[in-house]
Amino acid sequence: MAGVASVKEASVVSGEVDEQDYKLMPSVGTWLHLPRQEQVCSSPAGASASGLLPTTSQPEGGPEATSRPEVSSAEVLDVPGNERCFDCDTSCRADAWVSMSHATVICIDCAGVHRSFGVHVSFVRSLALD
Amino acid sequence: MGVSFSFAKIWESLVVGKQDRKIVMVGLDAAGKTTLLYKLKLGEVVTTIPTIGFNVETVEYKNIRLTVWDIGGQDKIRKLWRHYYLGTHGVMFVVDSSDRDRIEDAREELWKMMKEEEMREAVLLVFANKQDLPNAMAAEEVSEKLGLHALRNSQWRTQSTCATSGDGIHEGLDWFSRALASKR
Repeated sequence: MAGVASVKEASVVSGEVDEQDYKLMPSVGTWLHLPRQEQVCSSPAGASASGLLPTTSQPEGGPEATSRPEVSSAEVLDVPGNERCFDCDTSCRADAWVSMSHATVICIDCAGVHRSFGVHVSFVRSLALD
Repeated sequence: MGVSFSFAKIWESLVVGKQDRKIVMVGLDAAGKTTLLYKLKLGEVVTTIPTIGFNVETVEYKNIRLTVWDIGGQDKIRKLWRHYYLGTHGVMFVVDSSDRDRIEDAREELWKMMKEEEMREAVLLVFANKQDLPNAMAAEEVSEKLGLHALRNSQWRTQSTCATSGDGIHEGLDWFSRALASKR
């Protein structure tokens, strides 16, 4: 799981944070952070545990206070770097999965590996099926 | 034709001694359904990828032959589950006991299924899976959060399991096969 390790090592060059959404710019490219949907989970515990989610991103009044923008799967894939699996670099245009905890787009094989760690390490969603 | 067919059935139950039962295995995505299926079938932990569609295997356990349909659990393909219900004798409902955030989603999906006409009398075995993970809910807590005590028409049991080590699987199957054998 070199990919997960490199997530932790990636230094955040600049983090543009506002109350709606934000982009993280690690050394390997730009990627879009997708918050866990409110109906699924109100606290992105995995993301903050991995150190990728700045605590300043929590708006006053708790996570329920903001309405998250809908992000289409096409928008996620259009972010440079997201068309390939973060972990193994295969193309995932056709079938993309996302580790919500690490804010990375991954392929179905790596999704299987991420899922085997448990949701406390990596919470995985399908861009097409979830 | 009818006579020979029923004779074959009686012969099979007396001599071969295996009863056939159709089982659907459902649950939210990443609950461990496929891992559990292949642990049952092969006794091994296989590397799985998310199931798009289904896996089906026959598993023999004591006097019973289970045809287990393991159906993908992603949100948008859950509405396909009902196409597998016809003729089902039993349900294995798999829960990720460490995913407290989504146990309510699991409850909704379980109840939606158990309210279907074909499933009203199905035997329900809930696997409270991933007991090896930190902060996993115990079987009693899973039963309570799924609201199983309010389930009227079905026989049910919650079994705590760890699919990767195999812990709890045989206890669950023991109960399941007995409950299924007593139903026609």
